[in-house]
Amino acid sequence: MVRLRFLAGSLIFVFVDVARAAADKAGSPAAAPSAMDLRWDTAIWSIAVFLFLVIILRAKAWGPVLEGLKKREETIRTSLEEAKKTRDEMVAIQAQFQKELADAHQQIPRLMEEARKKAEEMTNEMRAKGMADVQVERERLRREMDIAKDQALKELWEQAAMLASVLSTKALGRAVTADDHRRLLGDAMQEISQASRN
Amino acid sequence: MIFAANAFDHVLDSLHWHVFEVWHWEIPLPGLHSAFDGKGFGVTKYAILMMLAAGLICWIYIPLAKKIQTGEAPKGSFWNLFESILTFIRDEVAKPYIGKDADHYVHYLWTVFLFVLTCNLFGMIPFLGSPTASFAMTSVLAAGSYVFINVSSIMRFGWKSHLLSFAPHLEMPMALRIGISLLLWPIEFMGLIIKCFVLAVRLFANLFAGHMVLATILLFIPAVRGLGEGLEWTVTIASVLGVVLLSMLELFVALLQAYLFTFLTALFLGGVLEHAEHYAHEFGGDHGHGHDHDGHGHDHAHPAGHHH
Repeated sequence: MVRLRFLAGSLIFVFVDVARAAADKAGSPAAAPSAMDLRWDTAIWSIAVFLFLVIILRAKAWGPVLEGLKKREETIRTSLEEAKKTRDEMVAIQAQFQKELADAHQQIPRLMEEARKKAEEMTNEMRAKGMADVQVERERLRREMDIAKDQALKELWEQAAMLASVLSTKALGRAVTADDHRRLLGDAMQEISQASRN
Repeated sequence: MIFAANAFDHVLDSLHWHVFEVWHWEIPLPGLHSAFDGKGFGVTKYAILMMLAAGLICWIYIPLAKKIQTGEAPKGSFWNLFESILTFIRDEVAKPYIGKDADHYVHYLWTVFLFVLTCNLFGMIPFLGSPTASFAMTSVLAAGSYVFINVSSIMRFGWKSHLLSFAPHLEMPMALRIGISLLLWPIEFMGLIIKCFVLAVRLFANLFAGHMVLATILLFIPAVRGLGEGLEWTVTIASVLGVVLLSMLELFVALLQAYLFTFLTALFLGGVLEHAEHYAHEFGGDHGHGHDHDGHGHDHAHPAGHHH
């Protein structure tokens, strides 16, 4: 407490002394500087430096700065417009997509039915084609079998005729001429043919 | 114990650069030291600080301009910080209070804001000072704003519309209107001069008073020398703490005053241009001189508080 009083008293003393000193100073005719006094050299330097600054910055800095800021604003504006345009396009595309999706959903049963019909048609076609191919193959085989049968019969009759000729030669004890052979074979062939038909 | 004058000297411009005033360490600056008024004439401390401020601004903003000229955003917090100052003044001060033609006039606002701000902030650096704590310097800046406002209006709308812009808009019979306008015109004309004068006083007073307070508080320390060690330490600690706290306030004041000076310049300019444009339209004056504007008409903002 004593210390605080001492401090307060000291500060008051200092303030009083400051005030007295200031009053003494103001009272003396020599000095008394005023804050509002204009120093002409300061004013002239201010004009020179400020004018220099205005001119140099206008020439070297503010033009490019404004140009840059305007370009940036233009870029931002253009980007915003493009973003808006892109967004609108995206919304339109999305709507179109949704519409097409809905259409596709509606078309699925019809498409499936068409696909089923087509598959059925294809199956039928393939079946018919297969049947036709089988029939053609069958006919071909039948023809080949007939040819083979005729060939076999022919060979059989020739062998039989030859055998008969040999037997007849031995039985008759004379040689059978070619004309005899031909006649005998012809008769035999005719009889066999008739027998096979029957 | 006479140190009040020292505090005063600390803030006033001079041909000496005080380093440690208590020990009378000072650097003499080139100039003629006059015995008549004790001021002299030469390269003062504030002149050097102003040149330093101008150099610093050019050193930062000319390379920045080249970086952003292409429309690309600058990279790095350093460049972004300085660019944000420009965009703030353009978007928050020039455009709202001048209108869509703000870009024609924003050059001056940028320059004046940066110059005032840098000069203000120099005062926060030990051994330097704020040139804006000089009434001569702030008067020059205010005069610059006054000239800029008038020249802009004259170049844009011509002499006739500009001079008429000081007459209020009155919806009343012509004779009455002319009579009242004749009475009010000198007041409005002087109003702009006074407003600009107040710009100078406001900036100077804020910076000067702030630095005076800081200097006075610090000079308590040598003032109590020899009055006891306990008192010396107590006053020293209290002074340093007080100065630290007040310096934070001063930092805010430095920014605020730079903003206010620029903002009010834009506001006054917007007001004058709006009225000049009104008369240019009303009387078919020489509207549109000196500009390559796009001919879509003018959309000046209506600054609050201006006469109507």
